[in-house]
Amino acid sequence: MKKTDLHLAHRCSLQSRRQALAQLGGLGAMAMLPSLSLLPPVASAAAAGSYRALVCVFLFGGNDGNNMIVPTDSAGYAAYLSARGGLGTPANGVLGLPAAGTAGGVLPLTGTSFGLHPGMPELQSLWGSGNMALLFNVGCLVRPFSSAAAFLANTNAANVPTNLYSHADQQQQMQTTSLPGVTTTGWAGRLADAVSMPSGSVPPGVSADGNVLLLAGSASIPLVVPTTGPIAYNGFSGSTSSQARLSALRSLFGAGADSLFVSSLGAAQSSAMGYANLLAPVLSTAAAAALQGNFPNYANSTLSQQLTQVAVLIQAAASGAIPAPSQQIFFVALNEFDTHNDQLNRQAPLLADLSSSINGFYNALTQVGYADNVVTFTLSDFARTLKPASGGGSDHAWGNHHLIVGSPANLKAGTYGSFPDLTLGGPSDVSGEGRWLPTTSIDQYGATLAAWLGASSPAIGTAFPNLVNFPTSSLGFLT
Amino acid sequence: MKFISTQRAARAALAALLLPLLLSAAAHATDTYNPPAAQLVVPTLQIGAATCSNVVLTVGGIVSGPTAPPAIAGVDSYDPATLQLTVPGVSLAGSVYNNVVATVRALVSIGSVSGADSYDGANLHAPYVQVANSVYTNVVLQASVGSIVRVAGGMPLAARDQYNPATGQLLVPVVAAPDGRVYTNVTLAVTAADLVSAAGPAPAVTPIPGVDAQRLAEQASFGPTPALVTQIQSQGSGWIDAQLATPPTGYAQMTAIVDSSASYCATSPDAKCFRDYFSAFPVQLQFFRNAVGGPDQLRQRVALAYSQIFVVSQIQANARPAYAMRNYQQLLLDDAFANFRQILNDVTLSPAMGSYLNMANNSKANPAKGISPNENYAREVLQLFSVGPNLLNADGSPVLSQGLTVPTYSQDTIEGFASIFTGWTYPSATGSATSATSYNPAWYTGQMIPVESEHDTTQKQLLSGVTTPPGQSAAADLNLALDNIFSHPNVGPFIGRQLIRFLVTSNPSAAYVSRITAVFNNDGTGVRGNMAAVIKAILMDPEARGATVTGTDYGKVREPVVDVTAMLRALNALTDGEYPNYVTANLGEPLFNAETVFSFYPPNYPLDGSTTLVAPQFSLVTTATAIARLNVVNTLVYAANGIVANPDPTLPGAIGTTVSSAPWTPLAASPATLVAQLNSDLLHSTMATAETGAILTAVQALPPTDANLAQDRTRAALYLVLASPRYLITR
Repeated sequence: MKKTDLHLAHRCSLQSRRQALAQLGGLGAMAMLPSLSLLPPVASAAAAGSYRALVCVFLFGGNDGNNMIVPTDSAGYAAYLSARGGLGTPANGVLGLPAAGTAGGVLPLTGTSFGLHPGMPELQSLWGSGNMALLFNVGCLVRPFSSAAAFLANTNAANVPTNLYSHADQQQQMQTTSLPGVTTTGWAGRLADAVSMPSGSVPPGVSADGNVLLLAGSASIPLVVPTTGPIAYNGFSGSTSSQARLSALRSLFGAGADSLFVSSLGAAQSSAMGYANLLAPVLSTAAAAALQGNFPNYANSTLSQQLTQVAVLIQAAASGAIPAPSQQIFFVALNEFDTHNDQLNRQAPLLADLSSSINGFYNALTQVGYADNVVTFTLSDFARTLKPASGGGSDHAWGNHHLIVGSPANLKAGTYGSFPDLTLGGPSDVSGEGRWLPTTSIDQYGATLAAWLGASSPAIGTAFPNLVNFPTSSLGFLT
Repeated sequence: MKFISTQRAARAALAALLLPLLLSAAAHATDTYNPPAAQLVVPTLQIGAATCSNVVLTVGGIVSGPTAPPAIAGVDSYDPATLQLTVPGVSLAGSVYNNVVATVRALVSIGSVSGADSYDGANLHAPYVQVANSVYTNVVLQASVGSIVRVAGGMPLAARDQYNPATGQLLVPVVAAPDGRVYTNVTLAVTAADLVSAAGPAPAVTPIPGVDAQRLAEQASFGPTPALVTQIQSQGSGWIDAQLATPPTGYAQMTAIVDSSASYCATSPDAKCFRDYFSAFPVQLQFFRNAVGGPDQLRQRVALAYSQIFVVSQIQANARPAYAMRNYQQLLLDDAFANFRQILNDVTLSPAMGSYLNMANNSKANPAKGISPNENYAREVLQLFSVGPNLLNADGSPVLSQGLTVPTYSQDTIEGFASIFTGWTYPSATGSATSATSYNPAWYTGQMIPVESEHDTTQKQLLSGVTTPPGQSAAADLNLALDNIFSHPNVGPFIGRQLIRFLVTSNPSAAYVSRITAVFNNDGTGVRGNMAAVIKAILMDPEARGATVTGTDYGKVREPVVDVTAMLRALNALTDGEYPNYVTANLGEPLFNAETVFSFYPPNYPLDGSTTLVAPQFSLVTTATAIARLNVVNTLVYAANGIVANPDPTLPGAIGTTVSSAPWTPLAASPATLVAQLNSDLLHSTMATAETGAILTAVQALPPTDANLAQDRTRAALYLVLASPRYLITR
């Protein structure tokens, strides 16, 4: 109950950021897209090996983690199956997946008593080669509670996240953490604020799925690239009059002393033009074509397309082809996880896409030689009720399971966090329908990722103000 | 209407519906011109509300046109204010010329008239009589030959009857006499004693002159055009009243399909079967055609806002057939100015909404199977469609308790409403059943009907501490629940502020929101939820009106749909809707295909670089979309021969998209005049001298030896104005 309407807190150093962007806008005054050789040589801050990137895959709508990671030991599976109403078919309205070893059953993860949704064989294979970690029961928290009962007994609104089970609020809090008042920056944006940017470089935060609060900092504005393809503006030639028109357009971007809306928009347009020029040599269909073979489902999967775009940019940044900071955070997303009905049919293709795309991305990074520089992780609004809802779906819940994928050079493959007791109304359940009190917070999850990325302790403290409320700041799945 | 289920007949029906809509211009009879007598014969001529048939007149001179086909929609029209006649099509010596605007020298004859005054020998019947700022309707006056002051003849001098109380004279522009003849410009002497009956007056008219008329056009239509701005200048707030009374242009009926997309399209010869019958495409295209050319501009703007509040999306459809979306969008148009309680009812019982948010076939709790009622509609109807998650003051600010917001509802309330919304199913295909004993398969025409055996009849927790009595029917529970939502004090500020943000400004003052909340709570006649009154109040509020805006934080970013349609309207576009649909999706607003029920942009997205300001549509401005928009402007302005998009060969009746910047080209001889006119027409003269100066420099940089100098100068200036940040901001 801390959130008021989302109003923008004062953004510091807007002017200096605008100046930096204006410099960027000045690049490539040539009408034709500049070739690489015409760009001024810039010492890349990303010397070989020191570049690191996080890639966030956000599953919008609230992924049902209960069917993504399923217990395979007989007691655990029995509890799961019972609470999910039994073995589910699209017709009978309940949600249980078949046991490991049966037709269409969950895919066992060696060395654990858990299995993956049957649609995720690629991730089962990545697990086998030590490339994946599982984090159980993570969610938004202000401070920990020892049990669901302790949470239910709490009467102080300041101790709990605002508006639990609301998409808008929980999506936002997974990106900003659960802070009092109005928060207009994301935790990755706050990390980005502390990352130094070489002159004329792309920002630390880059999204292939539109503007996103996660990457918004007090000073740092993310770069948003299209899902696929280059960014190029048309209609200008080298003629004097065409260049005069381009020059007039640039000056119009600086208009609006009389209106904050006009001036902000002009600044955004100006920086867009600068980035278009900067990225012209790297964001090409050819660059994507070189990598998209790693994604079997490329043509039909926007997630695969987004990750291809990210791989292209990581290659460009890590190799120094474009000026880039040494720490970057990328954002991609998959939608339609809000499976209120027909969940078995609707979630299956989404998880299959997730598995195939993440695997393809890992292979693409290996192809360009940067698999050791990147860690990929999932987030989602919230989990879903273990108990089915009418229509063969589930309702909004809380603590969820997430995946982290990386090379064994960085990732300590294994299971982390505390798997909930799957009893409806039991010690992990804050309702009667199977909504888990998280036993790990987004703050701890993010801080572990941030430390690997190279953020300093003070920077991590600024990015995750609630971290001090939790017993550990490093969950241990990254070296 | 009888629905057709065979594929071939369905295809033919669809083509039959699309074809006349797209080619309607070709179907009207054309005028004929007789050069020796300089006479124009006009089969149908609209003057104000009067439809005159078989009009013969002599032409003065050509103002503009002819243009390339197709003809604009509609019949000939004459505007007494400008003395101009608009002719969609005239045939001369075997050729047809389109879209000519001419002045009239003299009226020769009018064959017959409908919709105008008529005299029956004793009384004059006048549909409209204007007295100063008021308009009376259905006026009956006694009159005799002795009442006649003069019969002037000639083209009607006014669009409606004008009464001057000072002189006691009534000017009747067009009247049908008992002998069948039509007289024009008859002046009668009339006193109050002659009044037999009248309705009205219509609401008092507040003038909206000059630049403010352009601002209202930006707020309440899909973009100013010279004709629209003139109309607003002449009608003032009466334009809003007229718009509130204008029926929807609407969406053509679509075939109701019960087959799944897989089976229907497996045997369909339509190569684009899925697109045409199971995607939002046909509804999207019609939306854009209506937005660019339809007369019900305000209704469509409001329906567009509603479609982003009461969201139903085709994207999460499991191939829900397109007629479901058609029916839902038609519903929003029809209910745009209805009472909010009616809107709540109609949206809740819409089968399309029932499918999208799972209220259809939602069952009470089933303990044996371990299944709870579905909470989706319950949560979203409260969070998004009515009250919002936090308690609000009348001015839109959140209620705070010890510095923290106060939730409007708890999880228990959500579960209460979830149980309310149980036991409803799709209408039956015959449409006559008022209830069902078991669940119906998906059917998207009509309203959902109850299945009492699936309805939860326990006591249920609602808002504001209200609980329902146990044992009520599904309908009784539903009405109680919707009344409970409707009466919550949050609704006025929650919905009112969103509509202000959709139409006028992203950051209304607390006082503005309070004034609108007050109108929602009571429209002045004791009625709560009168959306017509709310919309008018939003547009006529002092914070919306005025010729100049000085606040630096005032205004809003145009959403892509309104941005692109505004450019098309400014460029005199003719379109089948396909091009604007394609580009607006690329700019971040795929109409009727929102990824989630939270629509295209978060309501509180912050404006960069300011304190406490929000700019929801700004979230769509990214590097990718900013560049994409520059390319759209480039395409629109530099399209060869004005052809922006060729007709899609897979779309029956397609005409592509064509534009024209012809109205400005004659000004290119004087670049300064050209730039000033564009600044006026497109930006109501808000550009600073530095901005117009920059554009002027670019225009003047074109070499005088340019073979198409006038056109290229116009294009350069147009490109810069449309690409400038100022065009994308409405303020």
